This record gives sequence, C-alpha cells and structure tokens, in this order.
Amino acid sequence: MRLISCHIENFGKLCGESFDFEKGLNRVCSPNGSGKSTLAAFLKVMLYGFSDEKSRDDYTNERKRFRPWQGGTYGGQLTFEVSGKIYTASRVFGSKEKDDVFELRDARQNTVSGDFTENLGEELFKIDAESFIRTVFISQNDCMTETTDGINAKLGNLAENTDDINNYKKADRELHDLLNRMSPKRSTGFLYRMNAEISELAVRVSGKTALEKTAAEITDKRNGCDAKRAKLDARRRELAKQQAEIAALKDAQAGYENYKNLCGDAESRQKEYLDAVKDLPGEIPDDEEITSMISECRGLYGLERETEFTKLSENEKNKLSGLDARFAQGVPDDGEIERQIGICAECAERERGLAIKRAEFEAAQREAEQSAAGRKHTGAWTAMFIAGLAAGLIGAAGVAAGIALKSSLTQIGGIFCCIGIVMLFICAAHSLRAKENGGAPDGGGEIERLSNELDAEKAFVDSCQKENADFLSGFGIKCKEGQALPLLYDLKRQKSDYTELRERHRRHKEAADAYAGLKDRICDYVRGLSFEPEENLQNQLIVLRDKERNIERCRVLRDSAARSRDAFAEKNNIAELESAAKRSIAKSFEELNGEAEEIDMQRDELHRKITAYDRELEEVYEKLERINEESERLDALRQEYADKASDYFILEKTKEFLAKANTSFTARYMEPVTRGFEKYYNILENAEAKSCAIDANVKLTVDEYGLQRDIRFLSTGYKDLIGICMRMALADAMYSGEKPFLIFDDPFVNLDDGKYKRAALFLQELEKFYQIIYFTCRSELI
Amino acid sequence: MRIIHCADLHLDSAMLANLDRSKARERKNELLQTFDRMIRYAADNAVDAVIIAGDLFDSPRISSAAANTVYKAIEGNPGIDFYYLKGNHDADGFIDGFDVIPKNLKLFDREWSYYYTGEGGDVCICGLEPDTSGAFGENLSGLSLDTDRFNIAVLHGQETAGGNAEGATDAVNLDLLKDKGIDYLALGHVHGYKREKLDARGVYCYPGCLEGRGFDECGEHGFVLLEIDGDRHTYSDTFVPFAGRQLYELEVDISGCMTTFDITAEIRSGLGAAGYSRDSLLKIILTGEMSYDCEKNIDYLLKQFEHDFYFVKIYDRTKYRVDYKDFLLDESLKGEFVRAVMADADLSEEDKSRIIRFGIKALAGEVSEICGL
Repeated sequence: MRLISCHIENFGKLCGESFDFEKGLNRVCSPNGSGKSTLAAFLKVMLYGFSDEKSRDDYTNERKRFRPWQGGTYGGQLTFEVSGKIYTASRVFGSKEKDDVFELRDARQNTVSGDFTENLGEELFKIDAESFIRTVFISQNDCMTETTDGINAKLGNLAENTDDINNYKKADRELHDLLNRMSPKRSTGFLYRMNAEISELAVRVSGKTALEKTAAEITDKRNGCDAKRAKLDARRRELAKQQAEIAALKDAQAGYENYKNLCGDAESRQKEYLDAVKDLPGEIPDDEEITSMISECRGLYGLERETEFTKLSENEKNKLSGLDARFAQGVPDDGEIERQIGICAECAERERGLAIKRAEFEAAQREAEQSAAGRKHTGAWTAMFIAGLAAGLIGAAGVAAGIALKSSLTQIGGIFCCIGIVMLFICAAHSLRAKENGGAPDGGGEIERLSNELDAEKAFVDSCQKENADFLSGFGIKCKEGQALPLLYDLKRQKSDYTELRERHRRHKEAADAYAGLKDRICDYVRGLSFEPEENLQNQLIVLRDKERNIERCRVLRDSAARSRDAFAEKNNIAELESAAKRSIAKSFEELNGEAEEIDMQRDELHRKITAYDRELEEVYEKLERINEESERLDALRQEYADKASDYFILEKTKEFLAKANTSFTARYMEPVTRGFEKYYNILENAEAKSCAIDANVKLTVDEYGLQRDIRFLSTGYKDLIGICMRMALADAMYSGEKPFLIFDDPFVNLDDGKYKRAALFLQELEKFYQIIYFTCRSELI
Repeated sequence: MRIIHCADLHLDSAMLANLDRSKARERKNELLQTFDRMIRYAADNAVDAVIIAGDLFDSPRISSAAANTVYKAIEGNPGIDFYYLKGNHDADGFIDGFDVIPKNLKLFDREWSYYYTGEGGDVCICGLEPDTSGAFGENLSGLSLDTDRFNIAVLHGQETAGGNAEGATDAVNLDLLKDKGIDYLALGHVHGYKREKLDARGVYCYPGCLEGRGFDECGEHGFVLLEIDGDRHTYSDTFVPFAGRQLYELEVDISGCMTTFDITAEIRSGLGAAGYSRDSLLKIILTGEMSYDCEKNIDYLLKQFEHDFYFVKIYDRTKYRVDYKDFLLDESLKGEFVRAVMADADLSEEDKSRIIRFGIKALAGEVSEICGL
C-alpha cells in the first residue's frame, strides 16, 4: 500500500497544491508555517474525515480549523495504490458532514470504483481513526501511544470480525457501571438500597412475635374479665330469679288479699240487695210498667186541665139553651147561610140596576118623540140627489155630443157634469153624517124592550126577597123587605157560637170521663203494689220506681261482685294463695336490689376494662395487619433481592471472565509486539530495551529504580522515543502482509542529538518495508 | 334434607400477596359477595342448613362489613340453620359481637357438640373445635354417635392417619374417627376440594375455599351440596363450583423463541388453547431452553397481556442454551470468553449459560436492558 500523489484544492492555508510520493522515504522539508502539518492533516482527513466536528472550538473542530483561508472548493484528491490497483479518492467538504462528497475512481480506467467507501481509512488500514493516529500516523508532539480496541483487533488479525474486541472496553465500562449501580456496598447501589429496605422491614416484621404475644396477653386479660363478667351475669340472673320469686310470692299474697276483698264485697252487696228488697213488700214492679204508669200520671193531669178548661159558665149554659131552641130544627150549614147572604146582596144590586133601567126607559120615551119630528127633511135631500144625478148624466151626454160634433156642447156638458158631481157629493156627505149619528132610533121597539127588562128585573128581586124571608123564618126570624141581610149575618154568628159551645160541652164531658177512668186504673195499680194511692200519684209512683231501681242496682252489683269473686277463684288456686299468704319472705327486695346494684357496678367496671382491652387489641391488630402487609412486601423484596443478587454475581463473573478472555486473547500477539519494540528501541537507543516491559494489555512500562513505571512519568524525549518504537512495533505486528504508508509529522523533534542522529537509521530500517511521508523543518541529518 | 358444606372462606383476607391495594380491596369485597351469593343460593334452592367447617374469617380482627354481612345472612334466613365451627384462623370476636345469638346459628365447642335435625331428628350434625394451639387432644376419640341416624361430623384441620402430621398441631387423625358411625366427615383447612373414603360407612371431604386467593389456590372453588334422605339413609354429595373468579397457572414452553415477539405468539397460543375467561387471575410461567443470545423483555410481555385478564403475572423460569462447540475454534474475544467460562469447574451449568448470555449481551451493549436497569 502506498501513496502516489495528492492534490489539494483548498485546505487550510494550502491551495491548488499537488504532491507526488515515491516508494520508501518521502521527506518533506520546509520551514515552520509552510503547511507541513496541514498537509499531514489533509492526508489524515482524506482517509478518515474530520475529527471533533461537534466541538465549538474552531481549533479542535477540524472542519472549521482547516476551512480554506482563501475560500474556494474545500477538499482535494488522493491517489494511492493498494493490492496492485491504483485509486483516486476525491473529497469535497461542505459545511456539514452530510454535505460532503466522496468519489473513488479506478485511476487507470478512470471509472468510478465501489471498492472502498467514504470510510476509506478504516477499510484500508482495518483500524479506526483513533488507532490510526496511535500507530501509522505520528503527529507533532504526539508520539506516545497506547493500544486501542482497534489496534488490539488488528493485532489479533481479526479483520473479518472485530466487533467483540472493538467493544470490549465499552462492554467492560458498561458492566462496571452496571455493577456500580447494582452494588450492594455502595450507598447508591440498587442492592444496597434494597438491602437497607429489607433490613428496615425485617426489623419491623420482627416485632410481629412480640405483638402477637401482646395480643395474646391482652386477649387473656380480656377473656379473664369476660369470665368474671360471666360469673357476675350468673349471679345477676340468680338474683333476678330470687327477685322474681319474691315478686311472685308478693303477687300471691296480694292475690289472696284481693280474693278476700272480693268475697267481702260480694257479701256486702248481697246484704245491700236484701235491704233494698224490703222497701217493696209486694211484687217488685216491672221498671217499664211503672215508668209507663208514671207517664200516664202525666196524662191524668192533662185530662184534669182539659176538664177545667172546657167547663161552661152559667151564661154560656144559658146561651147554649137558647141556641138549642133556635136550632131545634137543625143547624144551618155555613154554605147555605152564605148563599142566602149572596142572594140578598144580588137582590140589592138588582134593585139598584132597576132604577137605572127605569131612567133609561124614560129617556127613550123622550127621544122617540124627538125623532118623529126629524123625518120631514129627508125628501129634500132625495130630490137634490136625483137632480144632481140628472145634471151629471146630461152633462156627460153633452160632452159626448160635443166631442162627436165638435161643438160647444162639450163645454156645456162639462159644466153640467160638475154641477151634478157637486150635488151628489153634498148628498153623500149628508148621508154619512146621518149614519154616524146612528140613524134615527126605532122609537117603538126600544121602549118596549126596556119595558120588558124592567119587568123581569122586578120579578127577580121579588123572588129573592121572598127566599130570604122564607129561609129566616125557618129559624123563627121574621124578616121585613130589605132587612134580610143583617138578619142573615146575625144568624151566622149565632150558629158559630152554638157550634163552639156545643163542642166545648162535648169535650168537657169526654175529658171528665177519661180522667175518672185513668185515675181509677192508676190507683188500682198502686194498690196492686200494696200501697194506698196518695194524692200525688205521680210522685208516689216515682218513689216506688226509685225503690224498684235501687233493688235492681243492688242486684246487679251483687251479681257482679259474685262473678268477680268466682272468676278470681276460677283463675287462681285459692288454696295456694292462702298458703302463700301464710309464708314469710326471707330477703327483702331492697336487699336483693342492693346486691344487684353492686353486681351491676362490677359488671360496668369489667365492661369498661373489656372495652379498653378491645381498643388495645384493635390497635395491636392494626399494627399486625400493617406488619403482615410489610411481611408480604419483605418476602417480595427478598425474592427480588435474591434475583438481583444473582444477577449481580453473574455480572461480576461476566466482567471477570470478559477481562480474562481479553487478557488471554491479547497475550497472543504480545510477543511479536515486544520483539518489534526491542528492534526499534535498539536502533534508536543503540541499546537493549531491558528496562521496558509490555503487559498483556500491550501496555508499556519502564523499570526505573526497581519499579515498573508508567512511561508518562518519563522525560518528553524518552517518551517520544518509546512511543515511536511502540507505534512501529504495533504496525509491524498489525500488518504482517501488505504494509501501510506511514505519516510522520516531525516525530523526532524532542530527541537529543544522539538519538536524533540514530533516527536516520531508524527511517532507513523502516523504508525497507514502508512508504514514509516524513515532514520536518530540519534539514540536517535526515 | 339439603345441606351446604363450605369452609375456609377467609373473609377479610388482605389479598395483598399479588395484588395492588386497589385490586386487593376489590377482591376482599368479592370474598364477601361470594359468601352472600352462596347464602342466596341456599335460600333459592331450599337448603336446610349451611355447615361452615372453620376459617370463616382470616384473622381475629373482623371488619364490621364482614361481621354485618355474615350476621345479616344468618338473621335474614331463619329457615336455614347455620352450623359454624371455628377454625385456626377464627376467634371468638365474631360471636362476642352479638347481643343475641340468632336461634338458627348453631355453635360448637372444645367438647363434641351434637345437634339433631331433619324429620324426627334423623340427621345428627356434631362438631369439635380445636384448642387455641389447633390441637384436638383426646377429645377427638370421644365421639359417640347413634348409628341409626345419618351422622355428619364437622372438624377443622389437616387430615392425617396414624398420628399427627409432622409438625402439624392441627391434624385430624382419621384413624380415630373410623368405625364411629360417621356418614360424612365435613372438614375444613385444606383449600382445595378433596373427597376420600373414611371407612366402610363414611367419606371425608374438604370442600376447599369458596374463592381462590393466591396462585397456590388455583383451579375451581366452591362448596359441597349434600342431599340426604334420612329415612332411607342415603345421600349424595356434589361439588358446586361457585367462585366469582378463577386463578390459573399456565406453563408456556418458549424453547426456540428468539424474540419477545416469538414469546408473545407462544403465550397467545397457550392462552387460546386454555380459554380462560377475562375475569380470571393468571400466572404465566415461561419454561424451556432459549438461546443465550435471544431477546426477551418480560416487562413488555406483561404489558401485552395485563389488560386481557383481571390480573396477570409472568414468571420466567427459562434456561439458556449455549452450544459450546460453536466457540471451540472461534478466534475472537467472544470465543475466548466462552471458552474461559466453560473451563470454570466451580460454576453451575445454569450460571455458565447466564454468564455467557450476559457477556455476549455486554459486548453487544445490551446488558443493562436484560438486567432491567
């Protein structure tokens, strides 16, 4: 593998520059600031791209650092040979990586090649950028080196599969972090915290036994109190039983006393009844009957009052005798009297009408005489009518003739017509007036009619007066003409008086008869009761009824008392009651109540204690419940802890075995690296590298004053020397086949003169196998 | 005559072993609801008596909700006699809380108690409670029964024969109960249904708990329904599954699965075949051998199934398979690592396979993920 040429379009301060490279050593010697390091950087960037692109520092961020000073296309070409083929890689850099353009061409055929990608360096050297700058690329003042996973992978010839060795450090770091996070020893470790929680829970859960013991003790105390309370309850029930017995005894005694009272009451009621019976020596009257008699007594007094009330006075008796005579033939009924009065009144009315008609008759006679004189003027009016009619007819004939003849007769006829019409009109008017006046009476007929009527009326009046007189005479009353009416009214009054007196007399007789009959009956009733009737029969009867009722009341009371006594005797065993009444009571209610109160107080106290124990138990059980929950949590945590602890153990073992595998794996290429180092050390130092040692991790140490010391503690020049030797030893070991080209950016600048001179030998040895691009500002020696 | 034989209801159980507080509270209430449903079943099916063979409650501390539910169930069903025998979890607190013990609540003591029921008293229900240590002592053999009756004996304890089970103070020595005239020995204490022959005449039976509480109580749970013809001295006993929810353990062999996706498919296949209802509680146990470099995310798997059932947990009991021959000639750090692990004689095979899995995952940058950190 070798570089053939490169062309820089623009890169940092370099612009449009081209470089050709030969096999073996290519020395680029120029003064400081001429762009040697920029060219070296260009070569690296063309292979691996920019580093630290995310840095904000314009110096460490290579994309910014090498941005063309003069502008223009940022990039260039690199022509190289690998495995006999020549390629030209072109890169144009944008402001960001994604804007970069990469192209690879087969330089001989000038065709685009896909043999390599933009990861050109990794694909060519089989190492990453970090490994590149630790081996084949030595920049100024950075000669020291250390192995990377990439170097190790390459050292192990694991070009085909370098992932695992490449990731070892990352895996180791991850395992390390994971173990730290899980650590049971670190306070921040998961297992440590879990263990702390388990310990805390375990302490709390360990209190469960004590709490259970406490619960058992409290339960025992509570049960003790409960047992005492049960005993007290039993005694309390015994007392209640005794109280009940005493109460029953007392009830029996009271019952017997009650029975005695009932017997006494029955006896006294019997005596009372017998005394009451003595008040009525005869038959005890029926209450309803005697009450009826009392009611009849009230009728007796009514009859007495009626008799008094209807009794006639002497005048009345005389008057009745007179009226008896008057109406010996019968008493007229009021209708007849009223009819007679009506006849009499109509008669009087007809008499007054008769006088009027008589006056009319006389007037008619006078009028008939006057109408006879009036009939002489009637012929004159008839003549006028005929004359008028004739004049009219003549006039009409004249008009007709005049019209026919067309002569003056028409006018004359008209005049006659008018005259005739006027005359007829006058006659008609007279005739109408005569009609309005009724015309002239028939003097003879009217008078006759009136005369007939007068006669008829007179005959009627006479007949009426005769009937009235006949009626009155039937009662021995004589009536003159025109005197009937007052007599009829008088008769009517007498008839009324007679009727009244006769009625009173009848009623009086009836009342007197009834009074006597009723009184006799009541008196007989009283006598039937073995008592002589007293004057005031009603009072006597009421007294008797009161006695009867008293007897009935006493009987009812006697019967009731007897029933109560018998019912009590039926319900109760009188003999037992009598026996109980004779027994005495051992303890009083007061004594028993006192003891019961004492027991109740003790029970209350025990109840209070039991309640307190229950509360305590409740609290203990709550704690136990919490502990049980914590116990569940503890079990779960312990299980989880065991699982995680197992994971932790496995992780520890994993880390251990990975490290062991890494060590044994790298140990295989320790020997060639060591051999190479000694060769290059010998060239540069002209001495054997006995004081240097390389461990299994390809880490170099130097034996100084009895200790293997890290080369970082050595001088700068010595560090560079060892670093350069180590890099070349690694390159030798890594690339056993086709060698890569080496880029040295003045690596010997810190060597002393002696070593600097030997650097020429060093380069001579190297160029046998490698193409070297060596940048230096020093022209001497090399 | 119809009798329900139940036991080990463990009302008021905390239920926190697997469930969070919210679900635990819900399950605690469900225990009460199942008890209440059983009483309604008894009322609806003309059951004459309910035998509770111990452990009605989980602890001496009884919540008012549980006490009231039980009390109301007894008081509200005067036509049903309740024979309550206290178990090792029960205390006197429940009975002490009563002002008046309902007439239909029949209790037992540390001496044999006998109750006669059925037409003409032809069915005898007797029981013996253990002492505070759970032991029956000599009382157990003091049982005396009229063999003309149908005899049911009630006890709470672990069955054993020929003496107490080792370390068990609460053992029911069946030898002492043989040939005593027992027709049906109603037991409590064992949480799964079990029915066996006691002697020539009788059987003994554990109905199991009414509702499974943890994954050690998987399968069907319920009570036993006895139908007794006292005249003919015949009976039948039927286990009635009654739990509101079922608990299941499902083993899924995920050998050969290389990804979480493969494992999900395998679990789904197992679930499809099992046909569990959505309200079940499920424990999925992953078994089998997997390749050391497989990808397996248990948290993600749990997320996949946690909404398909009332509760799901996943146990990973898989082992990793490493084919050592593949690494014998592997010239790489990985090969070096596997060979180094293989060479260690102090490690178990399981640890070796785990170390190899961890190491290879570490080289792949995935070790934190498989550790769940």
